[in-house]
Amino acid sequence: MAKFRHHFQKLSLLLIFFSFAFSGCFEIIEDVQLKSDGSGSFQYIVNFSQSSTKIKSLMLMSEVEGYKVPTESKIDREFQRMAYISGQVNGISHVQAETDLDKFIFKYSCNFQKIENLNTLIDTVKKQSQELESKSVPSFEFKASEKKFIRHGDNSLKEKYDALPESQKMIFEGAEYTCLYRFESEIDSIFNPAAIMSKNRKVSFFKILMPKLASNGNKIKQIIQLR
Amino acid sequence: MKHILSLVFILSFLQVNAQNLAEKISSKADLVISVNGASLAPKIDIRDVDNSLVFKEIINVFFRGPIPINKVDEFGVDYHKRLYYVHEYGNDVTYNYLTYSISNLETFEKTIKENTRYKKEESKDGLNIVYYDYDTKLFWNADYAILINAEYIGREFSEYGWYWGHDDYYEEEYVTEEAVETISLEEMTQEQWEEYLRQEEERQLVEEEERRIAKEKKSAEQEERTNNRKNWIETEINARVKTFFSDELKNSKENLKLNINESADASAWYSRGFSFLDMMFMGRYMGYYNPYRDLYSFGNYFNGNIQANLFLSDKDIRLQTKITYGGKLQDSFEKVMSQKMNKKLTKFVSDSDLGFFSFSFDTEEMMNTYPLIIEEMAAIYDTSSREEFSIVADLFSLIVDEKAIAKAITGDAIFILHDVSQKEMEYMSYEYDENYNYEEVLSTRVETMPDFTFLMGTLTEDLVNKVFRISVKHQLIEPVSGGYKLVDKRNRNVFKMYFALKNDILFAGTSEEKLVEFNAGGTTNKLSAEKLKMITKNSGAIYLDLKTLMTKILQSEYLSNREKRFFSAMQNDLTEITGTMKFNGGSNEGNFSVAVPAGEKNAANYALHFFDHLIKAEKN
Repeated sequence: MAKFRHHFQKLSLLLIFFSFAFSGCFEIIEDVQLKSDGSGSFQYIVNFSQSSTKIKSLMLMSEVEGYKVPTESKIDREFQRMAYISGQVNGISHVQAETDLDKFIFKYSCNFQKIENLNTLIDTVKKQSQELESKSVPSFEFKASEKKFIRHGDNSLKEKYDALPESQKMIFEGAEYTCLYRFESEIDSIFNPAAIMSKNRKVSFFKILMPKLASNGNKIKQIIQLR
Repeated sequence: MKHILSLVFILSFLQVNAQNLAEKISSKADLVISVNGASLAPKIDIRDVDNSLVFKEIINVFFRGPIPINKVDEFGVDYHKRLYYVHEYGNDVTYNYLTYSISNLETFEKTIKENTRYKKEESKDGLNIVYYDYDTKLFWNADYAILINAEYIGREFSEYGWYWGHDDYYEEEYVTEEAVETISLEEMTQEQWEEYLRQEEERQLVEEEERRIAKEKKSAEQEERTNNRKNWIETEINARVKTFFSDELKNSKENLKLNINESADASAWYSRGFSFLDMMFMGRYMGYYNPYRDLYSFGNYFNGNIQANLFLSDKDIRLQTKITYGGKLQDSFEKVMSQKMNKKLTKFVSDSDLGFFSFSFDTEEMMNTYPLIIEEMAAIYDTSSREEFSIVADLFSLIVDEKAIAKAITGDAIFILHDVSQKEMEYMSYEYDENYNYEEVLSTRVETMPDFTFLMGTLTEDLVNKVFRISVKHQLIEPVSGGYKLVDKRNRNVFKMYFALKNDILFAGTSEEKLVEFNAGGTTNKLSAEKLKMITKNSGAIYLDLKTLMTKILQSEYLSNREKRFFSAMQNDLTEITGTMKFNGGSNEGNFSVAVPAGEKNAANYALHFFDHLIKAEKN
């Protein structure tokens, strides 16, 4: 376990490194496809391609603002290792981790038996990267009997975000976080005025700027009532 | 940033009593920055300072939060006299202190007492004291004050002992060797197995208890160490302040003999192996400082004591620096820096370029001097291993063929920033259909990229051409008209890079157009006599047209809103930076200047407005 923790510490350093590489030019997509029986698939894309020039420049250096710049192989290795650990979580299967180090796009996907598995996966990753000391608020909840899907938010990032120096807060400026929730049945209503329903009423689309999300994690909250 | 600005401006607008305060600085100081109030005061209206954001920022930093002070005069500090910031070594501590004269004791004390937060006050031995913390205190008498901070640098009570909080330490220390098993697990009877388990459990309990006791002991030791460190710091601060408010150092001739240029508006002196290359690469000043790493760094070629004088005139801000080398190094550096730039390289620079950085040194002399530098550096950092470093120096001389290296790298080089151009860069984005199914699409955006050339003298044509041939063979570069182009199969490179060798000059640049110019023997654009002289008459020269550069950077789509605000605010404040460096009279002298933009009264006003704009941009 200590070994895994060590690797996730290194992963955190990678993320910090990336944080210096962009100024508001990255995009994260969280895409959950949920079946009526509660199982489904999950895809997470982190796209730094708009900042690839800056990242390539930074990778010519050995250190940025006191943080060691990782090599391409190290970035790939740590991402694959994180994916491997997530695959050990009960109920998680078909894990795929794809790294495009030309455009600096990271794609992760997996299947889950029930939505709680996804929460465990997120907790596991957070714990391994020492981001989580105790059990966190579950990110997803599905009440099958009520046909209700909930995306919870939490404010755990706020303190860390507020403590960042202005130069590092700049990282989040203009960056976007997109949530996509897909269902087999039609959506009746979405409790979040910023969320948009697809034409076929089976998808909820929500996009938010990262500074807003970082300063108030609850903005991501959605309650989706299915028909 | 705010703190640096504040320090600069505290140093810039508070002043005086050169004679007395300078005599109180110990010869153990290695950095002194002094601001000449008598020279600065007539150049700037104090009301402009009162109304500046810079002043508000100083107040915030000084008093750790906003306080109701609106005028510099309300400080009670005599800003017509000289002010000093000093870094000094003591007994297992280093001190940072700011000392200045008091013009109005009543005002000074009122301001301090009414506005200082997190403090304890007392009067002792005729001195008034404000305790900010165990390591930071303000002392004053009727005439002057010292704000002093100390840091423990000894080993005995060090906070950063290698084993603090290191769990492995305890585990490894108390893991005991087990008795050799006489019966293998497979051969054990049930009774023997149960007995074995019982013993194992007992042993583990004993070990756990031992670990717990050891941890508690270490924790207690750490606490004691922390208390001892705090006591040590307090005692040392008190001792230093006692000598400061007496004539002890002066009488025992242990004070620093400063030779300050009285006509300069501000002066700095630094004694411990200054290296501008280290500053450029942040090596020495970031994180843990490893002197042994520095021993072999290129930056050591520039080690020496530095004196710097700042002049704020009507036309420009001028910084004059003088690096003086100790002992045998002075003669060696004179030889190293005596080489003048190969004029052939200047044919590729023109007035249309945004900037350049040139340097020229005698590579063979530098290689000859390097062993001496190793020995001299050992004398500075680790006298106990001087003999060992001497062997390293001898080995270096033995192994290195100085003449061959000098042939490969003649020591003449110039980096030219021609322009920054707008280039389309590709990136992936996502397009959604009406049901939010998405597909990746290739999009483009405009980015600002530098267009530069690096030229270097070399006399090893055969060797360089061989490297080119091998690189072509391994598909690292490909031939193009007049040179080679870097192969970028996986789109990994930020720039296109071209290489060529002609007339003993190696070309590396981002532009094919410049490669053509290189092969044609030079640019057709004109280079002013002034810039030509800068490059050819000095061992180092730098020029940068900041205003044009800033204007071009602002055209980039790549900037965030905050960056745009920041650069826009700066755009009208920046002009040109020029600098030269050459060896003269036993010292390496540097001259750097920034022109005062039109509309500014003088350099002092310009500096105040510049920092005001910086703060405003940062706050918006």
